[in-house]
Amino acid sequence: MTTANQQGLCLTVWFDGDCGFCTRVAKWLEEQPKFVAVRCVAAQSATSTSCPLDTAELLDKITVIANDGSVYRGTNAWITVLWALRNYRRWSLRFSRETWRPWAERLFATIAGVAKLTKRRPRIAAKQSR
Amino acid sequence: MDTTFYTYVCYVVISVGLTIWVARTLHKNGRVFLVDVFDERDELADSVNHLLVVGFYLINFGYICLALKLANHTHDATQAFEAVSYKVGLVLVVLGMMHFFNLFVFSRIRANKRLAQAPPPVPPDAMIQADGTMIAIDKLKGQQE
Repeated sequence: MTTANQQGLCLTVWFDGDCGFCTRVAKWLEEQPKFVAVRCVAAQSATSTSCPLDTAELLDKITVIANDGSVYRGTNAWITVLWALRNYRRWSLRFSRETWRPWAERLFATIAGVAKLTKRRPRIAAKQSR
Repeated sequence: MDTTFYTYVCYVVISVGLTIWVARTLHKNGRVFLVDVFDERDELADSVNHLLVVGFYLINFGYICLALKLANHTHDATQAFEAVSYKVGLVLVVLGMMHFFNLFVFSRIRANKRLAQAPPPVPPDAMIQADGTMIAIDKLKGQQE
């Protein structure tokens, strides 16, 4: 039943294009074997037509938007991305369990903290003037 | 013909009988697993099931043949009994290990398939409506009620 739903499903991951760590993770993500297609797009390139959230909101939390309209943010977004990957779906199911969920929140918050450290100066103004 | 010969005969008859029994049990009860794994494609499941049983027979008969020879010849019934018991015991342990290995393979195949079909583990935080606006899931639920 679920395979039919998953066929043709595509996840768009909005990441911070100014953050070196995020860019690396996005590149790594593209190379992983997947159950579900994943597309990484820099949040800075978001327009009102491509995404209902504005750039500031996208930069605040990692956001995953599926082509069926589902929006996942923060820890849910991480878990959904892991779910799409062939080698990490096991971890996704584990993290979503009640006992693991608090640890997942902490882990992903830490990763987000590390990501902020690798952030370059904002590029939004330059993008808009182009 | 001495007792050693009869020991061999007993050993071979018991071991072969046990192997056939275990193989038939696996063949009969493993089919359900395989049918599930191969998306109800019965022909494919039966084919794989048959091939697995052939491999099972080959390994076990091979082991039985290799383990046949007794180190010391038996001279009376007691010694013969001990020798048969020892050899059959070894065959049973090998059969048991093969059986659990088979179960492990079946369950592994099945678990992998279930993993591939697993739905997203977390509910979405929001949904994008047809008109392009985004509604948080809790609000959406409130609207439906």
